[in-house]
Amino acid sequence: MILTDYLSIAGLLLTLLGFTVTILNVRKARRLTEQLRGDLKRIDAASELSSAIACMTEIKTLHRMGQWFIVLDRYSSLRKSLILIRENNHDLNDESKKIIQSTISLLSAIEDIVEKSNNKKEPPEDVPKLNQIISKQMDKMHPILLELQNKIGR
Amino acid sequence: MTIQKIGAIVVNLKKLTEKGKLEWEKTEKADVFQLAFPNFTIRISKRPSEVEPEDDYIISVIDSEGVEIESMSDVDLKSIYTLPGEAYRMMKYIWESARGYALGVEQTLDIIIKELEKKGSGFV
Repeated sequence: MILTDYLSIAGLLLTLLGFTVTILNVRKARRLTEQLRGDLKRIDAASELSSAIACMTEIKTLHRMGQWFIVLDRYSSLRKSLILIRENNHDLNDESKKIIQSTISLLSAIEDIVEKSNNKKEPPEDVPKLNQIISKQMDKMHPILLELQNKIGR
Repeated sequence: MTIQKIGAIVVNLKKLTEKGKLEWEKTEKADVFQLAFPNFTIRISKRPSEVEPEDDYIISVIDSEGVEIESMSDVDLKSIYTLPGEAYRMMKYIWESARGYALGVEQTLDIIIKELEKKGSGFV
């Protein structure tokens, strides 16, 4: 073999090495993009859940103030955002989904009570009980929020 | 067909309740308890019967959006079981167990018994 043959082989090897490095970099970039996409989803979910918990605090205040017509809108918007949080986040485990489902059912039942009492032009019978139930659900939702926040960047 | 399926749900709820595998929760009403799954909820409640001296027990299924999609009482279900009064007995048992679990009655009584036994053993 002459020198030009050696140079050709060396050139071929360098090209193959370059290809390999490029492929590895593309894979790494794809992995990072997927992770970033997942993180963005989790940030969004954490933010949505945080807003939902804040909305539950607002509902309790509206109950105490007897703002029964305003609070009706809050129940349905809160239920809708909880449904979206559950449906859009595959990271949530079954236990977290159960807590969200439980909250959705309770909100729906509370909405029904308030709707019926509004029709009779009376406040609901046991307002402290309604707030107690909402507080309990809030306590159960905080760990879900922490779990989502802890998964960001991992 | 729906009645048969609700009947099957009641039988399974009774079996799982007996094994203590269901985590019933309190609700907005004192005599209603619920069991949440990731995409639906089951509720059990009781109300005074319009014809019988005993209460009626009602089982309801709530969908993923919080809407009640089916509800049946022990009176509705009595035709599907072979033994008379079976639906009433099963649903009463589920309701009482759900109440016990949700209010923590069993757990609290166990703690009280342990505490009393501890105190009692101190005197022996």
